[in-house]
Amino acid sequence: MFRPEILAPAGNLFKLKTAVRYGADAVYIAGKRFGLRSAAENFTLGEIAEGCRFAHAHNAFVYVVLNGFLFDEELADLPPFLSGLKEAGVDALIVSDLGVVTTVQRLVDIPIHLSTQASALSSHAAHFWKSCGVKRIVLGREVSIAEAAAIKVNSGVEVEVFAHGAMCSAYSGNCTISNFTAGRDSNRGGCVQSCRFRYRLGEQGGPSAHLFSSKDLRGVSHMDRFIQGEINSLKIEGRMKSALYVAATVRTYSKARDALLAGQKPSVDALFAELDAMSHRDYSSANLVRKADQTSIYSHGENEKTKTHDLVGHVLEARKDCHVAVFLKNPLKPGEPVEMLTRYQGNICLDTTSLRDLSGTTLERANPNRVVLLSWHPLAEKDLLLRKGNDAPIHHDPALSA
Amino acid sequence: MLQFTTTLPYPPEPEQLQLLPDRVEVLLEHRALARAGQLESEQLLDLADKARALGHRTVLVWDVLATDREIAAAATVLADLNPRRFDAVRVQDPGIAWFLKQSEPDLPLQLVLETGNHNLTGLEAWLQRFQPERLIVSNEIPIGELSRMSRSLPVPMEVLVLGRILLFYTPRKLISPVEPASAAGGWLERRVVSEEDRKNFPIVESDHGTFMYYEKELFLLPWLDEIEAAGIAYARLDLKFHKQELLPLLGSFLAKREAPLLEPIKACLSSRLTRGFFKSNRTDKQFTRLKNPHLGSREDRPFLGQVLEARKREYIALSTQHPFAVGDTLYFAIPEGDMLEATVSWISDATGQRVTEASPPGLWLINHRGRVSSGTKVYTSNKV
Repeated sequence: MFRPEILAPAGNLFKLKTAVRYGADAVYIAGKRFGLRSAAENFTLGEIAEGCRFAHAHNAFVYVVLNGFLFDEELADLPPFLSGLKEAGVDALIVSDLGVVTTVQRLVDIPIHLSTQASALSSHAAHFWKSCGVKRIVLGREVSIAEAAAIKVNSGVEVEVFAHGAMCSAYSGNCTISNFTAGRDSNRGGCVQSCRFRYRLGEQGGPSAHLFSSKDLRGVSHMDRFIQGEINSLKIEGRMKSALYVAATVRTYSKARDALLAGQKPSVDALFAELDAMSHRDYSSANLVRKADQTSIYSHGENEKTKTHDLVGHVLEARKDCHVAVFLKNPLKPGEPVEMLTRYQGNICLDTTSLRDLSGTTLERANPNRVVLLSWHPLAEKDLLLRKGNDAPIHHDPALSA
Repeated sequence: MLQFTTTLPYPPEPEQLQLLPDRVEVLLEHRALARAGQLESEQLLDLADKARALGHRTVLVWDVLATDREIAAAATVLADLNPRRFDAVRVQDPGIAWFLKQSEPDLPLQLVLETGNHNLTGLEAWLQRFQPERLIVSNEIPIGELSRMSRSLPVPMEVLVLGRILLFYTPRKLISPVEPASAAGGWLERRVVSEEDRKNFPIVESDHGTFMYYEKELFLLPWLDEIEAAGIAYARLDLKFHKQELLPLLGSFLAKREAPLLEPIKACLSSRLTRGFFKSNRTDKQFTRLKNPHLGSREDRPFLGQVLEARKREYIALSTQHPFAVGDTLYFAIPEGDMLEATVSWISDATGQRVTEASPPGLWLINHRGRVSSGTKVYTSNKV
């Protein structure tokens, strides 16, 4: 059976390593310029090289996004960066602008993936981009899995499909609200997410709603279709999102795929519960199976619960028979139930009854940005993530359940 | 000499063609092919015939983005219209351009590059791939840049000089579901007001989805001489959202280009006006302020690691990537932007065991240094 790649986002080196540790076959990252997330931490060339070494050592690939729509002045700065990327050993570049495609081809021998920013939607478009030397197309999010499979067959080009995460409402690359209303180029990394605003229809007295705010995409229940359609790569959105998000989504999608490939049927409820753990808007399948309609718009309900768990922190070191040192990103009290996420052994409960700081003092409460010592656990490993439940039932969209 | 291409005010009437200046190009937007098209086949063909009889060029607009199924459906409409009856077909989707190049290789194409094509290398590549008769370029490119580009491009360029600026295009119908009573006919035209910043946007729902436009209309008529001097060959007037009364006013102005003739045009336009990015585009200038530059690691200095925690008068906990030793001088780039210096007087591991060298990389504690806080980057040299 065909094995689609699980492609994870990574906003920094720690997230890259997290993605690979939790099962990503490939990660996509950005340098300090030329991408679409200016507010993300992003990578220096040195970090890209280190990320490539780490990923390659774990049989994973690193793709670098260069998917901003560049003006000539910026394009002129690209060549030295491309040389640096070649030297760093990146496996592919994700590009949306034909000027950048051309420049890359002139200067370096790195495979090109066409970004979803180019909104390639058809076999005809795929033929065109293939003729430009593109190896893979990240299809527009308006394309269904069946259409993606047909595009691959018709054009002979690899196809990548968004499987999970936040969604643009507009055709990617065709939204310039931020450019004109906020003076920030959405297609060079400055999107202010105007589509998430509330709008009133009509100048006076019309209905007020989040007219343009898309629900988040959740495609894990369609994993069988991805496999049958021989979709080359399943993309998880979210270079701005947390390491916990990266770990949990990667683990969930790879688990679903691997179960199906092994002839098992994964529990959809269990997969959904894992994805409910992280902060998210209501989920939908968007266009994966049928055309998205009004039910794919998120209502931003008041007081709704958007996650079942919070990140606690990550393991800094696990010293046998001694301690598990944890760097906290959220407060922790002794005795609070904490789960450590592992790739293969599921979620492991850690003993937090003894909570000490690095000078050995017992703590009644530890705040974020502190290192604490917990009792040792044999499965604890450096960089594994810890989370805790937040005791609130998740909001479920009735339309989705129906 | 600057030439003009235009859509007609809706509903388009053959009489409007008489009001156009001589030898204007008319853009014809079919309901099945154009994003905001409203013409049925018969109506469109009638207009095309009459426009040609008056000496105007005719261009069929097929500017939607489309999947395979949508291209196939539109292709039957196109075949019925017979694209060879038009002087050119205008497309944005490269898939549609590719389809036309395969099925109608001799058909002149006009390529819409208004989104995502802001550099000369890209424009040249599009030209080489499709050999269009014209490139319709982005209004996000300032005129100075366009002037430079026009000197290198062997085909005419076109810019929008009057009309709505499209901000947002989705294939989803987003208005009719919240206003179901008014969904008849597949065409809705409304305004939406952002409750965040009170901006007020025209919005259209057509057979092809939902389109939101900027609250101000692009109005570059005062700068036509400058546009012409920049080597732009075609100026586009997008009048489909305007009244027919605008046509004679525009005709008068375009014939003489005298500033006083602009006033009645402005009075006839219902929207506020903007010149957009005509003079400059500084939409990347705020990016440096989106994050604290001092929280990123620097490539110009040897990076040791990051401060996890600092306990006043007790210790600094470091996560390191390289070995270091007692006696080393470390440099701390704190989030506030200052670079602080400290000599390592002691090192211990997380059990409290003192060591003289911190190896291998990992979690280490050292002597405290004032002002150092979590997130501080640590370097082993201050030399660039």
